[in-house]
Amino acid sequence: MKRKPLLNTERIVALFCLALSVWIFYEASTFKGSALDSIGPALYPRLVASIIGICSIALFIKERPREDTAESAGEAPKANGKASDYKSLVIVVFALIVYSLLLKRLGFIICTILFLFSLSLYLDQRELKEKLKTAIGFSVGMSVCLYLFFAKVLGVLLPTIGLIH
Amino acid sequence: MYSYRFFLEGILNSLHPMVLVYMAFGMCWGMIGGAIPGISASVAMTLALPFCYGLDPMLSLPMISAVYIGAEYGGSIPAILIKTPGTASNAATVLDGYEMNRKGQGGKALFTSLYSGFVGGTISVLLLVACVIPLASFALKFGPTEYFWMILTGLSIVGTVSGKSPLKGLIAAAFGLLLAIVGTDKFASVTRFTFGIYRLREGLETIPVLVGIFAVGEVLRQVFRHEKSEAITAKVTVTYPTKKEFAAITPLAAYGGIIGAIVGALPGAGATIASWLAYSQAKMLCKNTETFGTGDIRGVAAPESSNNAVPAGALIPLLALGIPGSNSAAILMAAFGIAGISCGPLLFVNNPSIPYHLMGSMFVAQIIMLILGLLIIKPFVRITRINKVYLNLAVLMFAMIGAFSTINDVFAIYVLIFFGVVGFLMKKFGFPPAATVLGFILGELAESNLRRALQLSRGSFGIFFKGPINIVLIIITITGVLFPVIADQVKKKRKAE
Repeated sequence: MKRKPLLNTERIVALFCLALSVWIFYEASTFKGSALDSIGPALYPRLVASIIGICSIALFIKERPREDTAESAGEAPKANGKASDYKSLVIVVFALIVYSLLLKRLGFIICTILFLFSLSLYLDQRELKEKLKTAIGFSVGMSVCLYLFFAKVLGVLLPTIGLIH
Repeated sequence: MYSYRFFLEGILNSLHPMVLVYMAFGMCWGMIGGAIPGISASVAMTLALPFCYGLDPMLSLPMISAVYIGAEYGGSIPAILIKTPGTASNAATVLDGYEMNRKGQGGKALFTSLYSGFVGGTISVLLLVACVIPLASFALKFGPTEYFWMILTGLSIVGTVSGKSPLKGLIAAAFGLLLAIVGTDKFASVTRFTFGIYRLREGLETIPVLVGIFAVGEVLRQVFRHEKSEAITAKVTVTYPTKKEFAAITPLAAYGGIIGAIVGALPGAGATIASWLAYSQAKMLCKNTETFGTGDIRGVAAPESSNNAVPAGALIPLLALGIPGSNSAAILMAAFGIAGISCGPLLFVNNPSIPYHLMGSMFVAQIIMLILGLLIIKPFVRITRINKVYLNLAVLMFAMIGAFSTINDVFAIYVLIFFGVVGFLMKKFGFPPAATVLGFILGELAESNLRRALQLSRGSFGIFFKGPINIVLIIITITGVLFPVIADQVKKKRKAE
């Protein structure tokens, strides 16, 4: 007979939440209160952390892993995703971060064109020849339109190249 | 009655050209955003939030609520034409709407959705006006303990009702409260959870967090799932219901409007629940309901009237108590925050023109919706032909610029990205982001009321359990939390048997 595993995804999540609540509870002890305030800045965070802690423990207990995997999460099995799904996700997040890093150096228009162009090529599933045209048109057109609309019409101070030198 | 006179003044104020222009923009954006599957009412509203900065609240608040109202109608368009609800609240509309389309009555279904939405929404605004003053007067008696319990009640109900797991919902709500703690404690001038990051001293900015969790999180989810969009190829011509059909759907739409208003007013219950409830009520109460599901016009009228009624209903607790009645109403509350106005009964004491103007504008919005509703069908059909990749990239750009514009610093974009990932992970592991957003928006109020109460009682927690209103709120909280948990357990036991 198969031995029932101690942990499943749900329980790991519950433990994570529990760890979070414990960490917050501890972190709250570093908040020094002033003499005038009888309550202190740590009470409320600790209250909230306790709620999270109690709920995580209850969640841990509730999600007892069962032998048949269809029941193991108590809900319809979510496709956990192949590696390729995560890859797209990571690339998009990475692109967003790189965009933010380069924004002040390259200025809004150039940065946006690069960002949109690279992601268009990466995410669009069509043939290279087909999507190249769209990608160029979209990235340049969108950047310019966004700049004109937000910087000129709405007055948002978007970074321009040469700001930091 | 005083309130009706002020309401009429509010309507007149809304007829000012600038207000109408902003409302029309908001309405168009809401309709198109709501019609694009993947952009919900919440996402559409959060993307519009950055535009509220520096805008007069008499313009920004009607604009955001117009987005809300527009999105609830807009979502019916793809529901009817391509069997895909534009927002979750249009899922019930698919049942009969798509069947009507298959029978060649798609145009009639679209008009029915618009008309029922108009009827339901108008009734809901009238209910709003009737209820909000008595409720607000009652709430003026609230002290800090009552407010604290009320926030806790709203949060715990939202936590347990949204999403699949009540426990996860509560954790999500509490997490939202934690996010609100980040920053400097006003009472003790101590920085909390800022990790030495200078820019966090003022706390987390609302817009990067909201737009991150909703808009960016949703885009990341679609990238993860490689979702493709379906294009509409058939031509759509709008036709009108017959006199008999009008007679059948009008009272139904009115009833749906009442349902939507009440459900909208309950924290945690929004347009999705309202639309299903109205659909099931229609099935129960109408005659000859065998045709439901095969293209019965009433099957479109019921859910569409109630989901359009939810925005005004959600405004009832928001204006009177300061507790948003739905997830999207929480975003409207953020719009109030951007304008520096706090919701709650004191709103009627300090700034009475604002809530009445908002209520008046919602009434006018129904008429604007009726006019614009048919005009956007053609542009929408064109938009569905756009590859989803480009739509998502456009959403990301709007999100980033919106976040950047709040503090003119790239830091806001980092926050946006961070919460985009958080929103994605939360959805993946079954935590409702709506509960977190509500906790984040209400968090500061919760803590300040808690501490004010404790200062009044000199540290004694007993003050929270004295007074009839407190006791009632505690009972509501406990039943509200335990009920879904127990119902969950009962359902599981029945399944096992």
